[in-house]
Amino acid sequence: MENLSEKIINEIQRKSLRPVPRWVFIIKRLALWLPGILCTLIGSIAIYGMMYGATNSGWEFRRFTHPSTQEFILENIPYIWILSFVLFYFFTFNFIRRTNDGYKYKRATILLSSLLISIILGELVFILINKKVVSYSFGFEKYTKQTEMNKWSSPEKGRVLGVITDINNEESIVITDKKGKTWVVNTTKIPKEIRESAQLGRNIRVLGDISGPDNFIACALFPWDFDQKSLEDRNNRKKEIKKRIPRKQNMSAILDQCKKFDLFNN
Amino acid sequence: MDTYKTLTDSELIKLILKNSEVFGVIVDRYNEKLSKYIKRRSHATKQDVEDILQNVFIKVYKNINDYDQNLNFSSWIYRITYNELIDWYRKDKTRASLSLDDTDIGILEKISDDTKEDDFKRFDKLKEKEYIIQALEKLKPEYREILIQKYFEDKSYEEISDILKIPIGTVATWLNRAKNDLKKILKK
Repeated sequence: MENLSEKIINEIQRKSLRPVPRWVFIIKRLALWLPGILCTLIGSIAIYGMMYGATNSGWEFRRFTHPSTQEFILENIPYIWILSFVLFYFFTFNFIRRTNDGYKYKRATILLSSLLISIILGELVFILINKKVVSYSFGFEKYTKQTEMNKWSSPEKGRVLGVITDINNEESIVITDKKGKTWVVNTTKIPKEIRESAQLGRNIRVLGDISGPDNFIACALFPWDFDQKSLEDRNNRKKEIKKRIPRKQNMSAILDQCKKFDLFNN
Repeated sequence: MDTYKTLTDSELIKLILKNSEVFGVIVDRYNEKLSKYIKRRSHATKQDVEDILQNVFIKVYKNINDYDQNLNFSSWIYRITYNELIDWYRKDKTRASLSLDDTDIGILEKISDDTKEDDFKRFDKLKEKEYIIQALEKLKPEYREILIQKYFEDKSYEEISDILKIPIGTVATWLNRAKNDLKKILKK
């Protein structure tokens, strides 16, 4: 044991050993942080997905599509995104713990800071991307659009979605739904201002009831927001439509008018 | 080399990068402590201990640029030794075991003083080395390691946290559990 230091120095000199350069360790340390950072970023996409779903799942139409707000919320909770967020959260925690200093951080510190970064990034992406172009939505747009289309393709439940192919007169419009079926929609119960906003070639949501094999009687008409390329445009369009609705004809009034169609008992 | 002996570890590290012979001071400084630690933690022969130590010091030298100045150098070198020991168990296919010398027997009194509990002192057999070893070996490996670091190596919570790479809170929890488990084993 006495000569161990000499033995080691001799070994170092004999094999010409040199300390590994500092930059190698710097790269290694950065590489250890990468998976954690990556998982936080994926977590932020999950947050983005939740926010996207919350904004585009037809909250404003919940009273027409669901018997209660609770049922709407339960049906629209983004379970898969919450699950993937929790999963990536777990990975983030484990990857960060494996870094050189990772063991020093408390579990709560790692989880809270990762959550915070994910939320901030998710929100930033949501605001920046969706403000201008919705199509860069990591596939959420396609999924949400399809879900909304399915929700509004149920004539038997009083909901039809289609493109306006003809405006016959002040009393009816013709629409072709997503399955290719043509409906003559009676719009006599719709306020004039709303009826006039219906334009050829535009997609429209119709709320009402089947009155014949190819006939539908409308109690409310709503725009199809998914035609708009950005959330900003969608919101502007919604505001525009709202402005056109006379004060007394607010959502509750429409709901009252539609109640007789017994939307949820078909 | 004698002039270097008064320097701190951090000062020596800076010099090692310029002159590898200075590394001998580090080896001399930690040789005895680490060899005692290795002997306590294993049934390694004198030759095995020397081999393990040699690997440890060569690794320390090669990875000297990885040493984080915010960390206690002693903790860093203990961490490397701890990992080297785990590798040695793996290669040797032996189970982590203990090998205490007569000076280590006072450990239970130390734990007892620390916990202000007399439980450990009540046992007549406490003076018997093998009995203590058996009791310690029945503990979970992580609990055994914590007790060794705290009571045999006299390490602080922070140092143990740095050596084993676990949060300080976990050190406190494991130490508490280790002492409770040891009490239970000794009461049987």
